[in-house]
Amino acid sequence: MKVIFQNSEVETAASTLAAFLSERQIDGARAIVEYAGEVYPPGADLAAVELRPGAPIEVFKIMAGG
Amino acid sequence: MQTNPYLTPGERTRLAAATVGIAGAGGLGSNCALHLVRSGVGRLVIADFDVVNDSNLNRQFYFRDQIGRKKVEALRENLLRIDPEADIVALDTKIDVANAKDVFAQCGIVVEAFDRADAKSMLLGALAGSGKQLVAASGIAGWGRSNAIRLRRFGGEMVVIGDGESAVSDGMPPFSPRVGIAAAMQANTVVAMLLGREL
Repeated sequence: MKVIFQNSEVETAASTLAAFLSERQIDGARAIVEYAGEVYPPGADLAAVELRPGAPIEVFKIMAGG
Repeated sequence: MQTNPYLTPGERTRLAAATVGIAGAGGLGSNCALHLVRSGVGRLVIADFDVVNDSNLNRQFYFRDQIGRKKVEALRENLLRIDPEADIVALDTKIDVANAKDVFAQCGIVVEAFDRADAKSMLLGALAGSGKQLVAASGIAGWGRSNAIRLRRFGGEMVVIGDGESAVSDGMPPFSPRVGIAAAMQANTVVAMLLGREL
């Protein structure tokens, strides 16, 4: 299916948000994810979040520095 | 506290009545804290387990004669030099998933001021959904690109300051001005939350 990732349309074989991040090699433990109007903090359980075609996904990575 | 004459009595009272948590007393936390004390925030709960060392002085609010001392104790001393009446709760402790909610139980707003990405993520995960406003930072390393540092809101309780891409690395060190910009933006965000203005 196609989803909107960081404002661009991408093709994915993933059916859950966790699988999508894995496909993109993004560590969900160190990222804030916005999906379908919900905010998922770092480490949230994304395996139960099902992807829908055309749904917008925004990922903000948490980086070292302070 | 020497009050800001441009604030209304009501605004001063709101700031003075606030309790703000700061997780980490490094470059972000120490500099954010000084801005909050100068702004008249009444009570800070600052937690860190580290000691001041020589490499901290390039960006953190400490002095050479404080090397070797616990950061929270040295920071409390420095903040009280700005405002002797400030209520500074200095906790020499390591924040983890198990204690984060208890340590900051009295804080309506918590500033994430760690340096490591895993610690930052841990705190956001631990406090998400707790009803507290979280003000984090991510992507603040290096120098220049001031306009790339911005505020992002995530839902109703989480704000992240930074450019979203500049992680600390060998070629991208933490540097006083850029860390200071982010720390000041975190403090500015806290003040705006307390006074009810646009973030």
